[in-house]
Amino acid sequence: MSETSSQIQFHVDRGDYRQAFNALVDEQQAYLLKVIVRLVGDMDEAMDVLQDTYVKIWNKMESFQGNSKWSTWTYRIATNEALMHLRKKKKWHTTSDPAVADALVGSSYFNGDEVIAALYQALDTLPAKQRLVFQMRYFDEIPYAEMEEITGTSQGALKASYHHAVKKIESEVVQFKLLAEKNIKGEV
Amino acid sequence: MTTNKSHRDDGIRIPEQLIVANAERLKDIPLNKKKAGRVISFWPAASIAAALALIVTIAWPSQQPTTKDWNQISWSEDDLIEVYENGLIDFDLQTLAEENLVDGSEWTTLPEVEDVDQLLDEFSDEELYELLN
Repeated sequence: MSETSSQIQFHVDRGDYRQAFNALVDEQQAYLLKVIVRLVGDMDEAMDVLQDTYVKIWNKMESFQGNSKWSTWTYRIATNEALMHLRKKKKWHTTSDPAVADALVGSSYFNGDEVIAALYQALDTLPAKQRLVFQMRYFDEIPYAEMEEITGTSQGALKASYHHAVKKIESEVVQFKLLAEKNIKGEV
Repeated sequence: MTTNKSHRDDGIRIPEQLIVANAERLKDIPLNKKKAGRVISFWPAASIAAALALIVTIAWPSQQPTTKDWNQISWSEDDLIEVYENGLIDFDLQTLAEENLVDGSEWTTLPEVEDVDQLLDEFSDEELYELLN
């Protein structure tokens, strides 16, 4: 258990959920915001989704049974909220909708190079849930066992989904192929 | 393992002052029992109200006159949000399944929904079209 997780658990064990919640904000909000903005594209929308995420975390904290790590639990809530947000915006399938990547790459918060920009454009061709699987594995390097906990999807299906996403990205972005061959193929 | 930062460069830089200011806003959440600032759009609200009315009509027909004008029922926004988030209305099974996916013990998706989800996860629109045709 990490130091932060043990602090959170310490507060929870004492019944001090307010302190535990504050610790979760201090430790995880920056990371969760990045996870969310990668999915929804627009920073203002991401901030709203993050707010909803923490409202849900607060409302559910007392009933959290500790079946997973705090970080896994909060990641799951954040990504569910982001996917719900996209669903409400009719962006569940983004095959012909480049809005997510355009919003992200065009924002003042993006300072990646052209390869990363091309990667986001390619990710826009994937359904949101497959995009999430790719981002969990590629950007966050989350083990498949933990991804299974987060998504409720079997590791086999996750590996197939990731492999499928990589293949699609390779076919979409020529410039990305060198990076993909170097960094991605060996992980599937 | 999920940690507090991305492992690979994702090209996103969020200013520290934004994070600090937002932390204060987030830490105010426990001070508000209700979900302050949450907006529910008209059509989902209307759908929930209609579904509630339908269930009440079916569940308690003897107690409710059939001539009841359900438009006269006044549902507050908080009522609607609570009903929606507690999954009491099965007007959108997938949405409710996702709402329940908060702790591992609460996963309640029906098997056939899981099958459809898995199909959607694993195949593109084009591949699904080919499979179904």
